[in-house]
Amino acid sequence: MPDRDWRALRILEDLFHEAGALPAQQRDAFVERQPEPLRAELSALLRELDETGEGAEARISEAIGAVAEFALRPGEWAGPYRLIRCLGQGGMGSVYLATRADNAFEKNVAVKFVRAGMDSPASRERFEAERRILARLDHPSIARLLDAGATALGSPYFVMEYVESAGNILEYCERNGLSAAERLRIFRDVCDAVHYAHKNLVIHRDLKPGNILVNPEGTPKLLDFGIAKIIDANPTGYTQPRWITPRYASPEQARGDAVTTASDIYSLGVILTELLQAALPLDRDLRTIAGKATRESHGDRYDSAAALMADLQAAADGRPISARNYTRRERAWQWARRNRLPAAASATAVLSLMCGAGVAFRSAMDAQEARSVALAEKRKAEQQAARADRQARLAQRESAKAAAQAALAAERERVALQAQALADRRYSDSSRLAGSFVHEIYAEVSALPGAARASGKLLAATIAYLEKLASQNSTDDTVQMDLASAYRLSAMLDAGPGVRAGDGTRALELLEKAQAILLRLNSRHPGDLRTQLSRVEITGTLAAIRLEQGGKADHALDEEQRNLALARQLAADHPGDARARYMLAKTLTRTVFMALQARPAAASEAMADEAVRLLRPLLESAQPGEPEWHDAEDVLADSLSAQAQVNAVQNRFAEALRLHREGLRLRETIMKRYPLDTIRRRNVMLSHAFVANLHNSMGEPNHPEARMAVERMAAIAKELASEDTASNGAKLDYAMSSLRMAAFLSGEGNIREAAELERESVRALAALGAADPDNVNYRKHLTGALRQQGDTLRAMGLLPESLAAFEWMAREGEALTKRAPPLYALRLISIALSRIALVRTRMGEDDTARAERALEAATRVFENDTSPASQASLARAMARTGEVFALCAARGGRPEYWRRAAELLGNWDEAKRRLPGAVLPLGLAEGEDWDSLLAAARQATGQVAAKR
Amino acid sequence: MVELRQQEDNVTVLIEQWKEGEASALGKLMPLIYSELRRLARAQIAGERANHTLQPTALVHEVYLRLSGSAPPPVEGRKQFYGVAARVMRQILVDHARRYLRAKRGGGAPAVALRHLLPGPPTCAADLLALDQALDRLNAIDERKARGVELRYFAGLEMAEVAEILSISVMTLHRDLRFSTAWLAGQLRHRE
Repeated sequence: MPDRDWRALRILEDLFHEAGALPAQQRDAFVERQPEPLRAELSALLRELDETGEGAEARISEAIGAVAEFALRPGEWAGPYRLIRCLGQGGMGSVYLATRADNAFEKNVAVKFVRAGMDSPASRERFEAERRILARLDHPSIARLLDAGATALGSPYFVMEYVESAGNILEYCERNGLSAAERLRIFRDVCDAVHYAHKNLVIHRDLKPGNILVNPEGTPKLLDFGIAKIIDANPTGYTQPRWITPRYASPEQARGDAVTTASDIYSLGVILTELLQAALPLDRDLRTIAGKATRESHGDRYDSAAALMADLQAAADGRPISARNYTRRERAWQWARRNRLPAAASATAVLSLMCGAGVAFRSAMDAQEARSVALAEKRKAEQQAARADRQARLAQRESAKAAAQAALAAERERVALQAQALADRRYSDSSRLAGSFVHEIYAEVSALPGAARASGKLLAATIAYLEKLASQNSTDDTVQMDLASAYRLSAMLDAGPGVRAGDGTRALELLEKAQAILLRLNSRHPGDLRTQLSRVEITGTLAAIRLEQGGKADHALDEEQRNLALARQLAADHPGDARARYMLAKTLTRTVFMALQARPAAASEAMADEAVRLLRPLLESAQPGEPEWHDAEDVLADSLSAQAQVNAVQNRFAEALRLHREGLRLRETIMKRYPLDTIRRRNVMLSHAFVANLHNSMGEPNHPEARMAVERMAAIAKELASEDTASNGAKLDYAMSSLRMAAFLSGEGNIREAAELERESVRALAALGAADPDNVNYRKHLTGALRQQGDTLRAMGLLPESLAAFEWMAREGEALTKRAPPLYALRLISIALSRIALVRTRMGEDDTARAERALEAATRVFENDTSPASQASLARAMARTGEVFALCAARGGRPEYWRRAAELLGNWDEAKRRLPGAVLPLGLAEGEDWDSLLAAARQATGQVAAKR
Repeated sequence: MVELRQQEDNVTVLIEQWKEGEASALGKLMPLIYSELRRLARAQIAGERANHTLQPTALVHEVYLRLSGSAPPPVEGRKQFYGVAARVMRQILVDHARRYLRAKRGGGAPAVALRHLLPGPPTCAADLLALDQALDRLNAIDERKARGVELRYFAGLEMAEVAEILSISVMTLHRDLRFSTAWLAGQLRHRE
């Protein structure tokens, strides 16, 4: 259709030009010759040309010019003001430096254009009324509103006193290095101005540092008083001005409720905190004052800015302040809420992140090795009784709990979904608050059992929303910060083992995005501590997940060590800042955990000690129960665990046990405050596992404390798995804790029950792995489970079944060589090969060649990791290989087998003497210990030696 | 010369960034092409008319507000960007004419909103709206011709510049404009 029109138009055009070129007297004849309807159209067109041929062009340009003229005349555009230059452009509109054009007097003013339209008569009336009220405000610290109007195109503008600015209040104080007292002086001027406005029934509604400029004389000037109301007043109810900065907005503003003078008080409280924080650690009084100003309920805040000012004065004079009766807990909550590090919302993650079930339950496998003859005889009778008793108690507890738990889980799911619905509503309202809002909701929801799905959806919605917001306004740092933070939370949800236990691929992507944002923000605000701390947190989390995910373990550890250097630098640069010390401690702790996993020999006790030393004073300076330090308590518990584990690696078991006990006590205290928090409960579970493991290592696997620890561990794991059936992380933990329990039961001699638990665990782990084939972690854990199962089956005399488990383990180990840290895979392969060799030997084969290969692998591991634990592993590998040779020799194999057996078992014997503690003497093989095998070998080779 | 060249490259890069959703790029772009836009604006509002007191800054500012408030249009480079700016200028004027007519029709509006509206000739506002519609129709049939009118008369670009943007010779542009203005004028004359 347009095509036909186009061709018709071309024909018309050609005729038009042809006719236009003709002398006037020939044109009519030319037109006459054309057929209709072309003739009429052509004739009409030609009529538009005057004698010069320019008539039509003039008419068109005139039609445009006439409108342009009255649309764009300066007087019509911004009243009598001539715009000089743009001072700034932001979310609300743009501000111009201008002068009066009518030369009444030369005076600079600021003209602020806003994007809102004023289309209804009602909105214009309200605008005019407000303008008159605002114009009456006359205070030295309030930039005066001089005039207001609307452009010809209907955009409202405000003409304000032009403030020569030496920076906004925060910048000014930073730049001039003002003392706390000087900062308070400026802040009191601000309070005075706000109080003055309030007395005149004007509320600011958008107080933030950017609206408080300081002039070169040091006088603060508040901008935009009441303007938020003019622009956004919406008598129909819910309004959420999109430029309001969430950080400074009161909860009632965030909810879209009525705004009162108390809303301004709230914003003042936030600004006060920021203002003083940079100068000094807030003393108790100032924190109390800021806390009272920022209380959740507006009725609980200061009655007036004057009252706030009075308390500040009292604090400055060292007099008692009025806010004292304000309970600590509420005060601290406010403080924590406003001072949260954006990345700290799930600060409990150090242990949880680094103890994907691997670390905590690792020694569970050693427990198999730990079955000791010495304990075997005396235990049985007493333990049968104890087991019956325990089972009875368990059954009783279980049934009582089951009903309560079902109800509880349903309630939690409902709460989570409600929160999510609320979140959805908020986002559809296009609230800028998504960022800060998500922290609060997330903090509540993510910790709830059964909430994995709801919190995932919640975060996905937030991220989608924030991404949209960020793409529209990439210069808005608040949005960027919130986005980075949401990315991190979402990553934790994906990778956090307590929640879902993804393999970390998605988490890595999200964290990399967050890291990119923070780098950008960091380059934009090089000195901003908050951004840098978030960067440290995110870089560290990235490194930890990369390590957990396997692959370049050393690289991840190096990265974390560089990150640690940055954290150290920040703490040194901000010696008074508690946040910087906290982050340093957290980074130290994470580094130790990562080293424990990647290069145990490199795990530094000094680092763990330093973390503990940093954290203790932080906690001591705070009152117990102040929520702002709950995170710090978690990190302290983490660093105690780190200390304990370093000690355990060094075979200092008693010290390790002491530290684990202390960490466990702390975790249990925290858990009591957050009875529903899954991550914290999981941390308690992990600590129990550590305690039980230590008793194994100390040669007392059935110590009463170990029994209690294993039982509590298993109970919590079961509880967590039954509360959130959608959580793979909880399933994984449950499988792993069952394995640990099985090891304990084997130690008690209850092999049959142990085998049953192991069978279930292997099945659960294989299912998790099959559903997520790229997830390396499931495979790692499966190999451990297979090893334990194989050992149990071997002990039960089920050799072919045992062999099948070990062979499966070897296949998994081979598959892991490309994807897990090389040492890790090699260790697995060594263990699998030596066990296969042993079982085959027991079944009558000569499998000495495989046993030698197992030993080779263990030797290579030792060459790269010379920690005592690794030495012990090597010694055990020697003993097992020696055992294979001895068994073959005893069956009448080659005579040189005895020599080899004597050599290897001799090495083991020597290592046992050299290495302190209990790692070694636990080995035994089917009731024959290696000592007697060694004796036999020495006898056979004629080397009966009385070596020491 | 080198500087000019660099500036030109800069502009192209910024346009590219803006297009890719980097909203801040527009903020950086505006100062760079500010004088250029002012020239366009000046051309547009001055024309051959007597009153030369119009304020190009205002139009540039308005263009900025429009551009920043919406998704970036598909622009390839510097030349196309001016095409977009021209389109925006056209839209600004049309909006203004519309608002003006509405205010007239509405009557009795409070002083503050109308305080700055001069009693402009209502016919020229109506003309402009009719022209806008006719231009849309022309655009549907022959886009090049409509763009020529927009660039030349709404944005006030020189003939040579318009020809360059449209990748045609000045002669062809001249022919185009002669025809399209006659066609548009005819459309205006024949509206009810």
